[in-house]
Amino acid sequence: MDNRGSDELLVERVKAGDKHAFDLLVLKYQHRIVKLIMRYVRDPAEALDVSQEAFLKAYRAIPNFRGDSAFYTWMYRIAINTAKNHIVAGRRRPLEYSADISEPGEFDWHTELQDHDSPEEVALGEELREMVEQTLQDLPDDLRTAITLRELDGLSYEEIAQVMECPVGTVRSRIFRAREALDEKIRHVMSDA
Amino acid sequence: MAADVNRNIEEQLSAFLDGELRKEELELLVRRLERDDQYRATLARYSLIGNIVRKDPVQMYPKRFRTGVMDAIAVDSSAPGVTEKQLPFMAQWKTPFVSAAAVLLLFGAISSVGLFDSVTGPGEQLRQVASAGAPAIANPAVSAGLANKQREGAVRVRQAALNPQRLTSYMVSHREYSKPLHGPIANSRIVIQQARFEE
Repeated sequence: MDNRGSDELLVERVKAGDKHAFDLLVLKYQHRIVKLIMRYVRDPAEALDVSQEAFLKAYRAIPNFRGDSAFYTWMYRIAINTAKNHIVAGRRRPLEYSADISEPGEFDWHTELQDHDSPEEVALGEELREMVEQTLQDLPDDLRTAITLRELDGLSYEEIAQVMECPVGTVRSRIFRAREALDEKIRHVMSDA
Repeated sequence: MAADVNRNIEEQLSAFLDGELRKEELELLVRRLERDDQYRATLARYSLIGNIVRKDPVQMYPKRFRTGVMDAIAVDSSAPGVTEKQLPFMAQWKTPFVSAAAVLLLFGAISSVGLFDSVTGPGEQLRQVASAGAPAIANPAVSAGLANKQREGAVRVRQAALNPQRLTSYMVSHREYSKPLHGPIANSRIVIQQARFEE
């Protein structure tokens, strides 16, 4: 089952009244949506509010979601519109950007940790980054390659299996083991995840 | 054994995050996630790891964000479409008819019980005894007393028939009036019929 298929199933559950399923969609896409909205809304705290508003709008509109596009593409449009409306309503100027953001996945911005975080959060974020990067370097080659192809290059398990010349099940296992090792390092730091 | 199960579930979480979970696994995992906050936290950490690897902004406390969204949804009254399933055309018409029929039956039952009791109740029995077997009572005072007893008996019977303890509240469906709430009685409300007797 691809990403779209699993999202469709969650959407169907939401339509049937299962709020937990929507919580899972939020969990899955919150980082991407916040990142997207931060390109429009200057103030990071506002960006979080706008992101929440976008999810709320999506929840309200989900009965009308027909599945013509992937859930994330649909959610992406809602997020963009919500951000634009927020800017218009507040007469705020959006951040300057040059990347094409008309469709998801067509930009490549590497945003640093936001400066709105408290010093403790900034320090914690830096600690996490170092921890993850170091652990990533220490991983066996096959695990590091699998997680990198997935997270950085966005390849599907099938594509990774072709690249690494191994079964899809092995790819799934390798990616999990990489995450498990990384999680082992950050678990004690992230108590409020 | 438990550790193996836990590890297997965590592997499913990893695949779920990548949208690579098989459908049969997804159903089970979603149900598990509904009741187990620990696995939600694990999922959130896996998501965070992805952000760090991609050098995306790190949201340190994603649970706060999610909780905020879900709290807003919980108090949002303008999201009825999600929980209110669209009924098929016939069902939309059928439901009010069934409800109306149920109410009519209920009133009919109450009325018929009252009528039945008033025919066979003590007051009527007194009247039947007086008119059938007993000799005619010539004394008007005695006759009036008997009539009073008959009336009191009838009143008691009618009051018994409308006793609030028997059936004065019931639920009827009111899709057309009720606010879109959640749960099995979303489109219902309780109607209380006050027992009242007018002589």
